Amino acid sequence: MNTARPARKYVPKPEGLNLEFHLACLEAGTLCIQRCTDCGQFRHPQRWYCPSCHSRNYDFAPVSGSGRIYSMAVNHFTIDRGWADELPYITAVVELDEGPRVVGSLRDVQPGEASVGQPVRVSVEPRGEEFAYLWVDTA
Amino acid sequence: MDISGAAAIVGVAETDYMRGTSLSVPELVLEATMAAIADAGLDPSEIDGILPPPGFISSEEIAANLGAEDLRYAVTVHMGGASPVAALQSATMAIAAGIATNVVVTVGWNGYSAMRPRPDARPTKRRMEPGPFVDVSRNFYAPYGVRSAVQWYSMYIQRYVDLYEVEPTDAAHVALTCREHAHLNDKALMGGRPMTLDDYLASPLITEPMRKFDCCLETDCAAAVVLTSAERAKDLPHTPVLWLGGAEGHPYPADEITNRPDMLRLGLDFAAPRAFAMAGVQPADMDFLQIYDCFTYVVMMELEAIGMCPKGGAKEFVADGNISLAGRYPMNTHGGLLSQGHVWGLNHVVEAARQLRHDAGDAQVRGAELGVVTGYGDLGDGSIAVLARG
Repeated sequence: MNTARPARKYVPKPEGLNLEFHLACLEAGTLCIQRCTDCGQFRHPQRWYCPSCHSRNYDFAPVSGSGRIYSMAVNHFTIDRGWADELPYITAVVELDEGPRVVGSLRDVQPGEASVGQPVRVSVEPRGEEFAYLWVDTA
Repeated sequence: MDISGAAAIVGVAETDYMRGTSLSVPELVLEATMAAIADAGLDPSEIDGILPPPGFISSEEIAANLGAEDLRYAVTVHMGGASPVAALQSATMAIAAGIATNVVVTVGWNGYSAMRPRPDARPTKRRMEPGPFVDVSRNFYAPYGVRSAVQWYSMYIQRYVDLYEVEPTDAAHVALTCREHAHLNDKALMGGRPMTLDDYLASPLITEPMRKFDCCLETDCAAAVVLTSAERAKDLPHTPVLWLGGAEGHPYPADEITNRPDMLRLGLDFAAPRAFAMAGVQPADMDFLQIYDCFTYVVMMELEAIGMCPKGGAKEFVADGNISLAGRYPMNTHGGLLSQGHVWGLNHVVEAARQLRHDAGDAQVRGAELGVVTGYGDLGDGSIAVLARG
């Protein structure tokens, strides 16, 4: 295997509704979540129909970014060479105050220091023109 | 239409379980398929229904090797490791409805060699088909370094162990029991390789709480089973293994883990009550359990989902030898994915059939009449079959 070139982290090429989500986050500079403009319910990941009222009308509304750790993957091994230098790393599932849950990278926290229920804040960082990377920091 | 007991497993086979082989997946799948048809006492050309693995080889290509000129039922189940047990339900429906007569369910893969090819191996374009959740996983999980099953499942297993205070020493019972049973099985990869609790606890963390020995084995292998009508099964060589009831179930939403209203509600929670109701029996009636064991903690969640014990009760259920061959509920008597080998849980079906034929060798559960097999795959899909000695 050729390991001369350092592996880079994978950045998806979003399309469709998922691209709309990323563009909304990048334009606002903050996390935005898809919301039904008929019944007002947030939903994530993006869906064409509101699963509650079946409306096709939606927007992407800025949210506070504050929430709590709902669960996490505490990774001590990876098959992804782009992440090998980060081990161990924590991928957090954050339940936002608005309800939906998002997945992001918990930074500056070691395994054993993070716990379910811990207050956190989610922020966005551009990765190219079309992908908003989600960071999670302890609040 | 009541399909309980309408079909029976009449032929079973598995290849060797290997870690490194020059055999291609189609060769492995066809070897297992031919052997299962021979075990059933049928001619390959009599097969008219084929449920292949999701990838590598098609029903049509298998039929062309069998000389099966009148293929009437060719469908593929896309539920990852839950596919083979769900396929038993689909095969039984086709047989009960008169759509097909003799149906093959087969899976196989290069689960070891795809990741670790030999230096002289020619690359293959044959691939596993991506799961139905691939759009979510590549857009929402993979960018954050979460791109394998152990990582996906840890997102709910972390909550499971927190809620019910499940310790590594609890999950260890599953790993150690499967290893003990592997020693009884000539075909088990880990047969003759003992594992102690200290070995288990010393194995490295992969994704918390899973350690290396909580994880199943990368394997090159294939397996196949043949089903026909219960009526026709009486004229074939082996004691028929009746499909008494079964179901598939999907968590909601099935293609995304983190926004489920209840992250601990798996596909099997939906499926199991339907399967036992159809079969007309209770979980406590089972003589043995063949539980899909991709990871030890998943086994514990499945045992609760199928009603062997209450929620949070698996840590007691798996303790004190209850799931060992001498216990009340012998589990994974072949060694399972953890210690026999990983053929998507179709080896659990093969083992269940052998138990009910009373042909399980040193691992035989004495007087076995009823057993349950589960499947689990993708992001928590589940499948189940209740099987009986005919």
